[in-house]
Amino acid sequence: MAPLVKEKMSSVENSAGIYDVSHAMPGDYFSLMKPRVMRLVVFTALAGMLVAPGAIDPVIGLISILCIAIGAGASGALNMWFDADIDAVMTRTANRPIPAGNVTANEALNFGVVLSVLSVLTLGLLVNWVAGGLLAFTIFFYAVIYTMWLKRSTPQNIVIGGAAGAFPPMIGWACVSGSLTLEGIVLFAIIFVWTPPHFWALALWKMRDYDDAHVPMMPNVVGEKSTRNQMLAYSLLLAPVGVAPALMGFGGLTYAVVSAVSGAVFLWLAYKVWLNGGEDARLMAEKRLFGFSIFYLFALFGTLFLEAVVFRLTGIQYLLAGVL
Amino acid sequence: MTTRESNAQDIERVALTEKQQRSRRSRNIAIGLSLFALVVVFYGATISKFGPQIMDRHIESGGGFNQ
Repeated sequence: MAPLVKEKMSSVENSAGIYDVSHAMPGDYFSLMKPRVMRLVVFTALAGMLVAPGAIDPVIGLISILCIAIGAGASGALNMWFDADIDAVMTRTANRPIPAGNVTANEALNFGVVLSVLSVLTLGLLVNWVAGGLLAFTIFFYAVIYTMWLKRSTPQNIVIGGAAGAFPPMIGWACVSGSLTLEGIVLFAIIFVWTPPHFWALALWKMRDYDDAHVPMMPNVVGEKSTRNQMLAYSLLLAPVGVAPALMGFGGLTYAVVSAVSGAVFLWLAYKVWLNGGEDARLMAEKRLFGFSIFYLFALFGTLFLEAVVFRLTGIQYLLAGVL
Repeated sequence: MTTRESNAQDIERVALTEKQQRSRRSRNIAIGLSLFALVVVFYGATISKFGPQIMDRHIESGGGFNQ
């Protein structure tokens, strides 16, 4: 990976040779943790934690969220360490700390390993080992299974690798309940099924980037038409999976309405992507679907979050079963 | 020249640029703050986990060791 990464580390020469001296700022290390991904992780984990049956001490709950966020950040740093060569090629990632020359790959690796160990041990010892084990598995899955193996070898990379991003609500649930239940798995399934249409919408207009980096994304390997077919298929699956929490009784009436309406809009936008078939050179349908997909996930987990807060504060909960 | 003086002359010193010094200072501050945050987190976790009774300790008369 080294040859493609810009060597901007400051070199200081003396009689014994040249020493690389880091000029990385704390902000560079923070960037290694992929703060935007961390935000989504924190949000979904918090929702999973609040929806789960049972109670958790607020301080322990706060530390749990911190551990999950730092664990996610650690896997981001490990991803950037391994992917520095392809990050340097793609416009979207060329300014990341390693290709930009602000942090060395070794510094990123050490940072990622230390944070991984710290977050998993703290969560395991302080909360429970179901949550700690899940966090460890998530980091392993993202850094090793997805980054090192799947990403460069199969167009199904983000389908299987999407599991890493789907674990946080399950970990949040496990922090409170101490177990893995069907409800936690449903929260996992929502993000898991959501990932392919979300990511492929982006991949369709960033195809050339992935091509340059030799990353086998679905549109580059099987073509745009097949990708659009698959996006529609996943969206068809996502609509009922998204409503499942309301049907199972851990999402309320508001959630039922929000998930049904936004699921229908998601499906409509995916249908437009499928229908246009890339005729629009600006790929507006794809961009619209990508933008809405982010809103969709925030809407679903945001509603679950708000309903759980209202229920925990007031004891009021309107369920779909009470209306039907 | 003593051996110690000779060794001192052999030590290679690196003169950092102002940018490198500034970034190193920032990193040191960030590490310090992170360690302080870690102390606060573990203190809070201990009190939350064990409750105030963690402060109730019987001191054996004469022995001086906590039981």
